Amino acid sequence: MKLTTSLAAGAVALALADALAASGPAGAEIRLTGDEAHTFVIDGTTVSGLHPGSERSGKLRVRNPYTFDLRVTSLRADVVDSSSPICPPHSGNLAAGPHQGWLPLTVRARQSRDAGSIPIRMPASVTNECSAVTFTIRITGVATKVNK
Amino acid sequence: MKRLIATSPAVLGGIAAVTLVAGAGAAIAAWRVQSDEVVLTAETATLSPGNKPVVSAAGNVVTVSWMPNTFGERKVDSYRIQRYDLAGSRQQPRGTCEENVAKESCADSGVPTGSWRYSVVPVKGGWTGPESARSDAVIVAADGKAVVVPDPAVEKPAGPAAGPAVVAIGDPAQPAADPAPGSPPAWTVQPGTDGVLGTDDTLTYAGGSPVAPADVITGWDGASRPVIVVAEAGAQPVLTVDDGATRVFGPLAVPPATVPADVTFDATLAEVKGRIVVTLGAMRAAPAPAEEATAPGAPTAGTEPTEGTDAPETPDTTTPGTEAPETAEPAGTPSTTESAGGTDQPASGGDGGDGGDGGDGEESQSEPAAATGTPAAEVTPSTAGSEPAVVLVAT
Repeated sequence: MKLTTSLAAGAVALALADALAASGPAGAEIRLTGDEAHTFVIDGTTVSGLHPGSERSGKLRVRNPYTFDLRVTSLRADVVDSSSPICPPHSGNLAAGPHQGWLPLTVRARQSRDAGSIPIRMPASVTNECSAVTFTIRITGVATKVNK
Repeated sequence: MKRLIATSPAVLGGIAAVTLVAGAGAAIAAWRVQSDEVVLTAETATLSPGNKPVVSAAGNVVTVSWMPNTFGERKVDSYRIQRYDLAGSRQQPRGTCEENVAKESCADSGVPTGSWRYSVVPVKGGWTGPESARSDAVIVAADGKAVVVPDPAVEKPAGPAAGPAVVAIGDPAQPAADPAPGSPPAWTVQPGTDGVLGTDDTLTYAGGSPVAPADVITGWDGASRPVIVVAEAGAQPVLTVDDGATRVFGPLAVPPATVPADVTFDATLAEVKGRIVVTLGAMRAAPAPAEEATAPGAPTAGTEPTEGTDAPETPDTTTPGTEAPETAEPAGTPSTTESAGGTDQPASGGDGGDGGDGGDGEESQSEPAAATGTPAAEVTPSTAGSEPAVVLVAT
């Protein structure tokens, strides 16, 4: 009986803590917990004209759809697909380098800002099969809410 | 014991504190926001085809040059040069053309006797671009001379004996000795006493063995048939003999003096005792377009378009000299002009696909000896006002 009581008290305390944390600062409209997916937006530029030995920069821009500031802590790119089965998406054919730019990066509420770039390199040794191919590069990022 | 722990207020408080901290931690972790998954595209380039090379020759050294291939502002790394015989078999060039060439020209040295064309393949890293169209033909003669034979302006499917070939002047007064038995057919031209091709002048294609008409035009029995002869002037004038559907002969490189201006003749083609003879007929009116085409040397006084109907200039070329002396080139000297001037317009700038370099394909046996300087034909001069020239057949 007493054990049951103490467990119930613990559960109440846990729920209380979650509720406090989730409510965030005054004015926050979005709860960033639970199963809901909360995201921010990255825009990037398409690159073209890649040829053996060339490097291009894919410029990035981050948009913050929320009413509070976000701090972007990481951005990364992965070559995930190719339009040609004979030129698969691996680093021998095309490589996306680490993010170039300043991190962490604060994006004000409901604003957007440039967020550096991703270098995209085609090795000099790449073969003819990778001519006239379109690669797909997935960009992902992580941000945290800025507590004022 | 368990009861004691569970019910102890101290233990309960501890549990509550730990729970609070853990809960807050979980909440902080939940503040991490992942971006939407975004995909960008990266498009790779393609190499443009090599540019059709321009060739020039001095002896058995052929210089090949071409316009660069670029990726936007950058050039490709190098070029691979390919040499072809007229049958289309690829050969390995030598000299500075042997390895990949980083510049836009190279010299193929020690080129064997024969007719050759060159192409250029751009190379960038591990990529190779499409091959260029093939160059004009270069004919390297056994005597060490070489001639660049420009491709005709109008491309038509080539017949089995089309060429290219070099045409030597034949001396009408002293027909050259018969070609050696078994020697391949070669061309000679008899331009008349004025030295300029005109009506009734002839071209003869003959070798050490009779030339079978069917080897020239499939199914032809050798009977006289109409053809058109187009003469294109230039640093290296060329003739083409065309039966409407196909280029029967040509390009045939003729001595420069014989074609001072672009001109087209109606002509006849016939087999005469194992030789193929082209007899020039009436000159066609010069086509309107290119003013320069009316050419130097043809004193077409008032070229005013207003006067319009001035007789189609049938210039002095048709005044087959009344005087006896011939312009006598030493028989059999194929006046091998090098392409110095024939450097044509540089660069065809990217004339796309290799237009099939004509029909050089089929026949490879006829031309090599063309420039050897042993004219295989003997043709009588075309005398003024006479009917077509007579071909003397030496036995």
